[in-house]
Amino acid sequence: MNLDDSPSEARFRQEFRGWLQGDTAQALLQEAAHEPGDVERRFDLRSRWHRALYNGGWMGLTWPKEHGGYGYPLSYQLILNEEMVTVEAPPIAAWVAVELVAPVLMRWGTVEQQAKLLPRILSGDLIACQGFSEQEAGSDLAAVRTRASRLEEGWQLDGTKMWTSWARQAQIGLVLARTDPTAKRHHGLSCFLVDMTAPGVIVEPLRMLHGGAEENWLLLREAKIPKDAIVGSEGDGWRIVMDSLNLARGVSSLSRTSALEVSLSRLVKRLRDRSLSSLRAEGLVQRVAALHTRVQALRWLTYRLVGEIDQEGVPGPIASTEKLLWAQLSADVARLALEIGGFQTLTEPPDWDRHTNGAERFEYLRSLANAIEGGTDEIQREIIASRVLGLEG
Amino acid sequence: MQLVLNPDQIALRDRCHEAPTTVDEIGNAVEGVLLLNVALRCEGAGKSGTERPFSPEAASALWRTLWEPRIGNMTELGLDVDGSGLHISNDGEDITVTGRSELLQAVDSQETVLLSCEGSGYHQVFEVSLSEPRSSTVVRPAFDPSMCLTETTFSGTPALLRATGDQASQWVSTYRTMRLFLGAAEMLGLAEYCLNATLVYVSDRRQFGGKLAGFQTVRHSCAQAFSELQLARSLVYASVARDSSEGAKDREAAWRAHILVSSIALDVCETAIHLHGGHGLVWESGLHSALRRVWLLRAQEGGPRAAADEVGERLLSLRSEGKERV
Repeated sequence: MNLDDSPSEARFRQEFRGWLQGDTAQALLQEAAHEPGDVERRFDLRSRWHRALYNGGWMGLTWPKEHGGYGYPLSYQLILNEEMVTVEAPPIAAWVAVELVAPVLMRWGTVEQQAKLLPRILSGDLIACQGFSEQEAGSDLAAVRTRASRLEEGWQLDGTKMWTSWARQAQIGLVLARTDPTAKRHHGLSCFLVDMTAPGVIVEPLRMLHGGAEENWLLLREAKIPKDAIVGSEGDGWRIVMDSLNLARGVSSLSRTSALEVSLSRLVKRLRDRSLSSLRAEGLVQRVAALHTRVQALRWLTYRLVGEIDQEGVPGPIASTEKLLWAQLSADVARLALEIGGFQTLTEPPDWDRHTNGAERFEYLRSLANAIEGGTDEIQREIIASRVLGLEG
Repeated sequence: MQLVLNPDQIALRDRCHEAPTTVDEIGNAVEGVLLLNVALRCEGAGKSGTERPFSPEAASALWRTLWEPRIGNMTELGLDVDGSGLHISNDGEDITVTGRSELLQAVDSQETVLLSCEGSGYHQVFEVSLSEPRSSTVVRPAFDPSMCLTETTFSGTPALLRATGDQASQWVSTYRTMRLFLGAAEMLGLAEYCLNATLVYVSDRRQFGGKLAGFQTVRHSCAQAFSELQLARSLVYASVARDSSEGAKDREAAWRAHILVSSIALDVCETAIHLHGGHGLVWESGLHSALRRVWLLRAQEGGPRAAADEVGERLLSLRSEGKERV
């Protein structure tokens, strides 16, 4: 192991630091310092941050050059994320498009699909969503019922997707549907690119426990899509889904660990305004130290994951543990952040101008989803038990 | 950056089952590499089913390996860093020590110890023989039977001055930091041993017509323990892989490793005993041996709570350069 920057990595780090000190970045970072506990406003701010990064030349670091990227190893993304944590930068809004949909297109898309969509995803001009889960197909994704029927001119989609993040903001959706109703479970599934403005594509907000609606119902009612909307071949759906999860591991892991470090950093800053005696009396000194230590450890675990992906091309056993640990830790940080706010945080209405914007309440409630979406804690443990530890069920 | 172990390091870890009690392969490398090698060594021993990464004798040898380049020709093992009960007299010709010291050390370890005394802001390190007529020693077995608490009363016992001032401070600081790192590495290895023993057990043991490994709660407990160990291992690797020339920064890294591994190792060892059911409670299971060792290792330097106080107060800017904010 060698944790020091190579000369080229060091130059890259310096350049990015310089950009972060520039006017464009600073203006957005100051706005992000009081990020609202409001889904729509957050999306807007994070979208502008995405575009700023793109215009500055900082998006697509690890994307292949033929798709508009730089082709750097994952360590460059790691450096970028480290520096963004230092300045408490927000994540980008279009993470579904960049981290989940784009890698699928690079692996499975046609040349035409890639040329049409990838540049716009990279720039932030195209927002994509991922229509996989359904009401009866959550953890058991193979139980999807959305039907894709072949027509002369293309396909017709019928079904209802649930938990579709950012569907109202998206222009395109990657949808999993059953093309062969006679095939069982993982078989007979295919993926399609769906124009979110097409007739028969209806999006309804799904109000979450935090009051916001980043999740949505995606209703497909005789939605017709062209022949070239299929991704890969008919029947490739399950492999695409699995790829989508695996391909996203490294970058997604870095992003969410970085966001967690920012959350903790903000929490620590709030505590610094308090007296020593009160911090000690409430046991907060030790609690913060324990959390900080775990978050640091998670960062290093994520780096090991990144290193393995860079070296082997695919995630190793650590990947399964990272999501599980991150979900638990993010909830711990969010819980403490809400707790230290005391009664005032629980009773004071959000006031955007005074920066009491309910962010702690939102973050806490939002964190409860982390142990569920992207594979529940129970699913992660089961994967670890069976595939990593080899325990027979 | 290279974020994964290189082939040599992997080989070092995997070779450990061949020579479970020697430290020869660790060598006399620079501190950062040395500590990483120790961490790998402990991990490998745990994976291979070795109950202890180091026998007490091997642990003594390791300390000599670590300590000799820094102090020179040392055979001592323990360092009573508190020294609060000691009084040093120096009449210009003879140096003697009076008072009482406690030292946690391996049973049958060396008889000469270092004592650190700090008075009026001035640090000194002395070498004292425990077998001197003017000292009396009571040995009490510790929670881990391979360790003991040596309580020595010195009555004008001759002492040899080994270091003063900044050098003495640096010796003591380095020792304390490395002790934490090594403790974290060894706790990691002990927890690995416990988890691996558990995986074997639950895969063999049958109850209610099926293997224990088939019960979701058992599988998930193992998975959670595995995940926690990955977290601990990541921090230990990152902490010890750095060049240790950075002084105070190392101390913080050592504290963090101590905080995290103390917690995780204890949980994993306890979980392992629990998942073994009644078999885990039996002396011969060996699991309690690992657990006892973890308890002693985590109690170093005031334990994880003291380390958490240090880290937390620095994080919250309550303490900077040794000064406290009110």
